[in-house]
Amino acid sequence: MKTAAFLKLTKKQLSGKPVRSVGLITLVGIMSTVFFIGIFIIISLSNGLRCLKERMGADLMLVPLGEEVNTEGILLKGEPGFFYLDPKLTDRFYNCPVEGIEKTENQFFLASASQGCCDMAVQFIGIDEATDFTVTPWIRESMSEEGDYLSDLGIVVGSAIDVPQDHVLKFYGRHYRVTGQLEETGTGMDQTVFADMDTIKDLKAGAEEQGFQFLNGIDPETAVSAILIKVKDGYTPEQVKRNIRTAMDGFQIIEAKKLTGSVEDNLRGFVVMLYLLLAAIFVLSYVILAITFKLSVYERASQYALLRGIGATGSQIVFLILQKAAVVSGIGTCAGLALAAVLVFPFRTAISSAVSIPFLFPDALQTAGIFGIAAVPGLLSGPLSAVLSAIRISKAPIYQSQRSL
Amino acid sequence: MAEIVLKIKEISKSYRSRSRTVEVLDRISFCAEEGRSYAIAGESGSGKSTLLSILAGLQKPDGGSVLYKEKDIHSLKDAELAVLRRHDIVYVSQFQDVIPELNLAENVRIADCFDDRVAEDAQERTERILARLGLSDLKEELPENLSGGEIRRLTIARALYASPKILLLDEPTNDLDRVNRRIVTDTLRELSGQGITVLAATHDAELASAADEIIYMDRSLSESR
Repeated sequence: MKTAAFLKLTKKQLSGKPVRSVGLITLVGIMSTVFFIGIFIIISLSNGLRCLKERMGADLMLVPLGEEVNTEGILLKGEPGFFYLDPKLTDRFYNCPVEGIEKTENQFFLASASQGCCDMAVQFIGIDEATDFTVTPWIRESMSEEGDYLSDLGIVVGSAIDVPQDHVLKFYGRHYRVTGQLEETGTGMDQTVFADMDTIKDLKAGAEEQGFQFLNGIDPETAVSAILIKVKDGYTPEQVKRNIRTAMDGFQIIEAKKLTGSVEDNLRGFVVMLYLLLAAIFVLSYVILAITFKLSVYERASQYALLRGIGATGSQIVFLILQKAAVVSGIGTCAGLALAAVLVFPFRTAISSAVSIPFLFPDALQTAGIFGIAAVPGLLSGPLSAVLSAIRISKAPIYQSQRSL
Repeated sequence: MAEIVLKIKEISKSYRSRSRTVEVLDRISFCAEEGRSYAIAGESGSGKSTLLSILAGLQKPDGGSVLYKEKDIHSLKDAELAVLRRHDIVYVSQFQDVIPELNLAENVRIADCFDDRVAEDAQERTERILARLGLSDLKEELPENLSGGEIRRLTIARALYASPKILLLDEPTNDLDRVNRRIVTDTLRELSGQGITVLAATHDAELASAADEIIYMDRSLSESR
């Protein structure tokens, strides 16, 4: 059997019915586009959640009562915000031993303004490098070189922040040197600037010069936005949360697992819907393709009988029909994936900013994998939907089929 | 005495519809010799086409056997039967069966697609056969641009391209004008001279008279000359 001759015949059969062929190719193309975008979204959400979990670094967060939503906004969506714990409460916490705590760190939140005194409105998170166990390891992982990136008013910025060529950003009329940029997380932390407490104090001074009052009389030396807690091995975050509650109240205690868990819960329904949509599109496309291929095959029943009459085997007829279906699928899949790439890649940044949930685009390897996975239903759709008709026609009585001309 | 290439033994065939059973062939037996031409004549519905389709292995008889090289062709596997139809027993139906998307020359060579063998002289052989049937100028034409007579000759050209041992033709001069009928008749006469056994079902007296033997059919073979 000569594949090249078969391909020529297939090509001629397809070009002989251009409207039908283009229709089938378009259908497979749309299916592949939807599959690619669907899987791309699912993987991006999954990446975002994974990164969020990795980047949380702490098991519990103590924030002022009623600030849970703001905290989620800062961490998940990159919505600039600030709040501060009552210093008396912070003192009480540090003076009251709570069982199950391995280490703690304080973080200080500040938001830059969107006016001319600042290059952009971003979230600042101030850390104490001596005690920090969440941001510093991340900075170390992201940077190729060892170094003290936050000293001497240096700042490290999230991946979504545009860093000018001179690596200097202006906030509240003062200039800060960008010493590093972190890898993308798909969370609000991509729009965050990390600084040490000296830089925060400098920022605060700059803000006050510009007429901004953040601290409302709270001493910046002792002001804390959130206390992050790592629990000891052998304790669960729930147990330690109970221990803190028993020892004192006045804090909103956020469990990192629950924060990511609630995001996960919200996304689960969406992802299930997406899977259902993809399944429905596959089934619908399969049915349409199967009907069209059946019509096409039976329309050519006498031609297939002719080919059998002049020496084609039943399996060669099946191959011929499946090859035609595969060509339709192949062209449709390539076109669909190309369209998906055109729709997704140029608008990566816009999509990322528009989605206010952890959303991290796949890396090159994952993207190649998505192309591969998204291609499978498209490539299979044609041959799968044509196989039954092909087998039936290959077994049809030759003489009777010829007479049906 | 010439070698017998095809032995037809006690072939019977009937078609069943909802209301009736029509017996088309009733225990037909005969032998075809190498290089002889046979005209199968008879009224419409006498079973000529059915007989040829059974000889070509396109449908099975209800009873009896068709022996080619001492083997019943209806006991062959699909792939073996396909090879037989490709090279040995080639059938030309009475219908204008062509692949509309292929041009005349491609239609003639279509069976090559299904063959593992590379036909090195395909081009040359096609040219020769088309010239013999007066189709050389039309080889690039699509079937939609050909007349009924030209398509009829195309189907015969396709059969000749296979270099068959046995050629089965169902009404090969149907719809042909006098000139075309003459071309086909002369071609078939030449073929039997080349050792090809030709069996042609026909209503055409001119074609029948050109055959070495005429077989009259009326469900069974009533006479042979």
